[in-house]
Amino acid sequence: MRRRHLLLLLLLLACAGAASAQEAVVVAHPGVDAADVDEPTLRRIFLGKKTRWGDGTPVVPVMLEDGPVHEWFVEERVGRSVAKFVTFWKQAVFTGRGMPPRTFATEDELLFYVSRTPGAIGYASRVSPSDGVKVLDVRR
Amino acid sequence: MSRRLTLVCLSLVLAAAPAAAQLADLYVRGFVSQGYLNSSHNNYLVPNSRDGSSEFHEAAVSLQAHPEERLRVGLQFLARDFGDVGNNDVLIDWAYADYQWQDYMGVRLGKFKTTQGLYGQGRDVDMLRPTVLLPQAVYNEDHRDFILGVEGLGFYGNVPLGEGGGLDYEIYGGTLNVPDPDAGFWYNILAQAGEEAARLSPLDSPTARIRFDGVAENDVHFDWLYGGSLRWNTPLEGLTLGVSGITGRFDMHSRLVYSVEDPAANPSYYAINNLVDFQGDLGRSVVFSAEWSRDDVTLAAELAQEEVNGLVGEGYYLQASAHASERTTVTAYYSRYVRDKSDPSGHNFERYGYPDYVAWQNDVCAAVRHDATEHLVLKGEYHVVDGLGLLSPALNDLGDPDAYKRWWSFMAFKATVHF
Repeated sequence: MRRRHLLLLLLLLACAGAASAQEAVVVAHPGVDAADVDEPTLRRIFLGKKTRWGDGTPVVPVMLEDGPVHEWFVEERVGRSVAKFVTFWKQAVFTGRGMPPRTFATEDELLFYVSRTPGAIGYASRVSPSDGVKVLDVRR
Repeated sequence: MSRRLTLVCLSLVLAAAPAAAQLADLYVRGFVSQGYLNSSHNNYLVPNSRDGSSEFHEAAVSLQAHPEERLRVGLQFLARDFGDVGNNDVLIDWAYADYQWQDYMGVRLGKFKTTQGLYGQGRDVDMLRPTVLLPQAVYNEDHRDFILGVEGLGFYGNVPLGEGGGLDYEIYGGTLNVPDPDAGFWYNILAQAGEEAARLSPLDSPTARIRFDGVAENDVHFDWLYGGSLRWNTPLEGLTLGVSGITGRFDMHSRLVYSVEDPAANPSYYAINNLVDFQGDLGRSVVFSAEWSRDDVTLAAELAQEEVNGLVGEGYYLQASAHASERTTVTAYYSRYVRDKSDPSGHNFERYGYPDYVAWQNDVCAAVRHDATEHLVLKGEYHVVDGLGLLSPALNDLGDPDAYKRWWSFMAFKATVHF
């Protein structure tokens, strides 16, 4: 194979790897008392360590069941591999220390739940005004 | 755990949901594990491991519910069999109410697991770790009852430290009835005492012989247990440092049975019941922990010291795990345990006629875990071991040099189905 073709093939493979990880935006119920959230707080929310918003409303974290958007969010925003994240919540369940966030099969179902549940926070690959949720900027 | 507290917790769990959707609002999970152990030369952890043993089984069902916003209640039934211990008796593993007033302060009331080391909480839950057995130098199966849980009151919380990361803390106090005092560690120390008493007992007749026949009854409970843990989620991504400790006092009420045979006497045979009351101190059990995890690699190291009735044992391990593929994890660790921190070379054991390598146990382990499906986990591991520091005298006659070997190996396999 010519070197040029090999380089092109490697470039395509690299792009394919990058495309499998899909970024997500953080969404919340419109009534959530925050315009943005930092990464440490996001981590605490999805590991069950932050349970209330500033106004005392219970935090209700929700997630997708699986997929590239879910994987990206767990790895980049929660800071754990998917396997470690699953293990964390299994330990919580089997020691009685908590229950994992509710999960949804599709982004549409997740967005619908977030729009109607005070305190809910989740993520999706894209959001439109008709979804009825607010987007939270993520600060590092 | 008291039946009354069990019934209260069960009632709270079942009452947590409206009657019409009762089962739907309960969070129910469970698992079943079956394992196999086979060792060379020495029996380890279970009787007859030299011949291979499948007396290595756990099953559990857990239920949780949220009756109110800040209140969670739950309980877990656990049945386990590990050699002579457990025998699949169904027990209440934990049952408690948890009220989280604030993120930095929550309260637990009932029977709950205590945090000891990185992995002590979930030691009975196979799918939480990459290996079949936790490193025994720190998670000694014989001393499991000391650090497994407490019936009482606990406080816990998470405190963010801004640029400094965050802290998870826990403190607790209470009591504990040992669930299986007729086997394992508790039986072993009584059996050793019984054998020694028979050997030293003075007899009036030169033709009489006394024999220790076993432990007929044994009741063990901790009069008090208290402890805590502190875990620092450091600002260095993936690095967690922790320390945990527990102390307590236990009571044993036991009936040891002896028989005396004297051909010259009439009757020539009779039995003796010896009622024994014994108090012991769990002076302390402390674990220092460090874990670093990034992408698919996890490094862990822990050091543990445990003082029981004045004898301080110490152990540590270094472990590395990595994902070989999406569903397969490979792990290797080295661990070392010494029975008596003041005598790591075993000179005291030599003075009593035992080999020096009874004093320590060094273990190198290679393990593979495969998550075959979302609900099925398969594991296998192989150990090369130097020393007998963790071998039980009840499973091996340490007075007979032909009954054991210094260098030996063992393998373990396990399959777990969970939902």
